[in-house]
Amino acid sequence: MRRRTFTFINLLGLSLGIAAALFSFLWVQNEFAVDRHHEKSDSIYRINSTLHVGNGNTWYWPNSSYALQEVLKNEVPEVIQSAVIYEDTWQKPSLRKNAMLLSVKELGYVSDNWFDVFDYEFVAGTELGFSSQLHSAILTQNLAERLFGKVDIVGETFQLDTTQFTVHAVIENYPSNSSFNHELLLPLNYYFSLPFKKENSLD
Amino acid sequence: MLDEKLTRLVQQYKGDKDVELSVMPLVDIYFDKKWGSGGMQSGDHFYSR
Repeated sequence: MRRRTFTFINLLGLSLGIAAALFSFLWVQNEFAVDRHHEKSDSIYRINSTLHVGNGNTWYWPNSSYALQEVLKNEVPEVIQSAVIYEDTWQKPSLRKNAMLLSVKELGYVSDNWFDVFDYEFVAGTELGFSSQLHSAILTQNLAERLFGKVDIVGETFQLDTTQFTVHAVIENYPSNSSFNHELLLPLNYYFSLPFKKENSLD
Repeated sequence: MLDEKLTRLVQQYKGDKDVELSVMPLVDIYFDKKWGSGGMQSGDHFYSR
């Protein structure tokens, strides 16, 4: 009887140990897979800025001037292509479809070649021609379902503030270990068409 | 090397001597605590090589 108890305790301890090791391994594997779903993840870099603002203070900004895009292309041969995303963090935009009003968690304005650098899975439509139309939009599957109740919505329209946008494509929801979580993507050209936005981004 | 080149470029184009640029691999951003870990920030600028 006593041996059975010890056997049970040993087996229980061993099982818990194996389970803990397995979960730890899966967690670490998941952490190291963040953003690796992009095919070119090993050759994509972000440009950071370090600003010495006086009085010995230093600011670390994970962004840089929009003007760099042209300069990089022309003067740094190591760069194959560069892409820009602008995320308006000051407000959570609201979308309107008929009587429905929805808040978007994250909105990104992306440059023309964003989809050449980063990989997305399209469930409806494609990225082709996206940036050439100022008022086109790409939604995640989740946002499409919340706003329209379906994902086959290419050509449908909705409003952001007072501006009407046309759905250009729908992308799959992001993997759980993605740094990008923009539910709505709009052309950077649209953002720059708004008063003073381009001038500010060139700083 | 590329960090220095970018810094030189931005200083040359903007005349701003108080800015230094550096590059960070996409796959390291999540673990970074200095420039901002996880999530993307306003005006992020990426490139591939």
